[in-house]
Amino acid sequence: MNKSSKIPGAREALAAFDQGLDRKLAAAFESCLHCGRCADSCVFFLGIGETALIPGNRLRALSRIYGRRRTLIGRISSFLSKSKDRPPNLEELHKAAFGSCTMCGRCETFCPAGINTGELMFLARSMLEASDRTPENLKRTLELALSSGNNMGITKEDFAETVEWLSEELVDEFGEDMGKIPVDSTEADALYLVNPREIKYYPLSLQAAAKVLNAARESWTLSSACFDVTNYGFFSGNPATAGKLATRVIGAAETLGCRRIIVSECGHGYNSLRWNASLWRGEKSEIEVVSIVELLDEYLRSGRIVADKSKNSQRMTLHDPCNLVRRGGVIEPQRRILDSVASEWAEMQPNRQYNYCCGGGGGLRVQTAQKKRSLQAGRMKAEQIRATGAALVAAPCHNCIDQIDDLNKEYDLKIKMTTLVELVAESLVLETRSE
Amino acid sequence: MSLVSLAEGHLLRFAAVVCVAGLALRVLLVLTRRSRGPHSPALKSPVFGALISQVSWVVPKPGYLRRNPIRTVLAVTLHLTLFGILFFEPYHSVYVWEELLGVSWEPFSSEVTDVLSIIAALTLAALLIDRLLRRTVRAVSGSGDYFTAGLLEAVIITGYAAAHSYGPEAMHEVHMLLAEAFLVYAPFGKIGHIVTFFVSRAIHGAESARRGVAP
Repeated sequence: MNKSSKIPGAREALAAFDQGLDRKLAAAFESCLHCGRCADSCVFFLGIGETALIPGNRLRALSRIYGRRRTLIGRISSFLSKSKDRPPNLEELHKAAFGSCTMCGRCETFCPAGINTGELMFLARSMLEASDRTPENLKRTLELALSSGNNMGITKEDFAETVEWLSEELVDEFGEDMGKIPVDSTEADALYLVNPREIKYYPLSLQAAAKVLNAARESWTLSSACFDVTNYGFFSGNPATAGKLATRVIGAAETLGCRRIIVSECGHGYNSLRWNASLWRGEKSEIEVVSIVELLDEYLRSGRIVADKSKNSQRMTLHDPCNLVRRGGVIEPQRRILDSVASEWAEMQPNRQYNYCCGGGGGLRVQTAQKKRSLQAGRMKAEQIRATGAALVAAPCHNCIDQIDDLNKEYDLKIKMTTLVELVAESLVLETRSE
Repeated sequence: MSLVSLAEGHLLRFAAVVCVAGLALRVLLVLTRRSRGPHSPALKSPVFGALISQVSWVVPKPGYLRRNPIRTVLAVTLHLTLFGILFFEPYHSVYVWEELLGVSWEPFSSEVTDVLSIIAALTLAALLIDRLLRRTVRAVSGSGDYFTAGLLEAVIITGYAAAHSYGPEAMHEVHMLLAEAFLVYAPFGKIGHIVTFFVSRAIHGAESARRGVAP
């Protein structure tokens, strides 16, 4: 019996490490200069101040495993001391991977060697998942997504009912053409995916999206069986499950004959489908993935919709969700959108790929035990927002909206939150569509 | 065989071979890991991203230079001076590289390399002190970091002393042996970053470009 087999899950964790260690991660382990530059990038360290939270420090447990199993000298010494299968310190890994990192990737932009601690934390999470140490709430959310089709367990009936009244309201106000919310249409060009939070708590964003998509004469549909864009397999560090969830929505689009997927304002949902799905699934999809943010920009630029910016007169600022911007590459469209639909808006400093994480990503918001820490990590974001003097914060990510809402209460920011699609819908000039 | 001829001959070649082979093996162990894929259609050229990423990291990041101006200047200065000494110090460029590669080139004057050596020794000492005093850097430091810095400092100081015939008669041999120890140690410690750094930057740059983000 080797040492790992004495600790439950240790052997599985090491197997997950070996399986998850790809070229980029190996290069990261080999290149850390111990320069500490990552300290200046991390919202957890900046917000809380414990040196244990410095990304370079959080890697220690993982680096030791790499050292023993993969480096030349580590292999020789672990062979001689028979320590190759020494069990990993799963408690230390757990602390580092959950509750101390949102996998936002800001460290990667600061690190001279380009090391993304978040990706290494994904590896740590996969080890913890393999050893059945995923935080309970995260595990339950994932199970619910797998069993019910969405992470909030919304039934098909509730979904249909919500969509129906949203559509009725739109029809009453703007007429049949503008008010329709197609569901399970096999004639549509695009499948629109939402964050289930929109159906359950924030239906006005779906209503706004419907209004804009219809105004742009977009050929779109929702799917009653598969409307959830979120991917908690990503947060759990389980590439196989993440791939399964991605396959489910891609399959739904294929079934309906859609050629593309429009992702609602959900940062990790976009990152998952646009960039990670092919890696997790091991195959590319023919289905094009676009964020509604890119689409809104395209509509405005091409004249498919026209906006009157005087309709949004509050001073506002823009939050850059990590998964959409730094990890997603959607950087300028949201700025052009605000230029078109907002009378006055100001950038946060820093912004774009250097913007601070809100502290609520990486599945932290469903880990209720991490609530306090998540709010502390959001301190930099709160200070950024306050410095703009904005009364309204546009955040193209529903998870970020919830988190910044909580930061608003915690740091008394006196702000309101909105999505971009709501701003666009509010500013639409319906009479003067160019066509 | 005298110590000096051993240090300048067989030992130098042995250390160089260990260094080069060790670093090559280290890179090979990285490159033989599976690469990610298949990728979604890229927004920008991954090859261009990998290349531009080799230099883009020197652009100061928002807030970093303001918070760490001295440290940034010291780190850049150290690397530049070490490069200058290693390749253009008269003894190195005329003898060491001739011995190892069979080629030599025009060296800097000894006055210039003296200045470079002094600056390198001082900046390394300053960075070491910074590592000890600055909470964030100390927290991520391990024994290997101090050992590497100490060994490198010893190599620089003995090299300067040997060039000026300071200290004991065997200073030249001491310098050679320390430098050879440094070469042998290089593939096993953080000095390995002289090659892995570029691999990591290339992968990071390619992925960033693919996603449409500046590396």
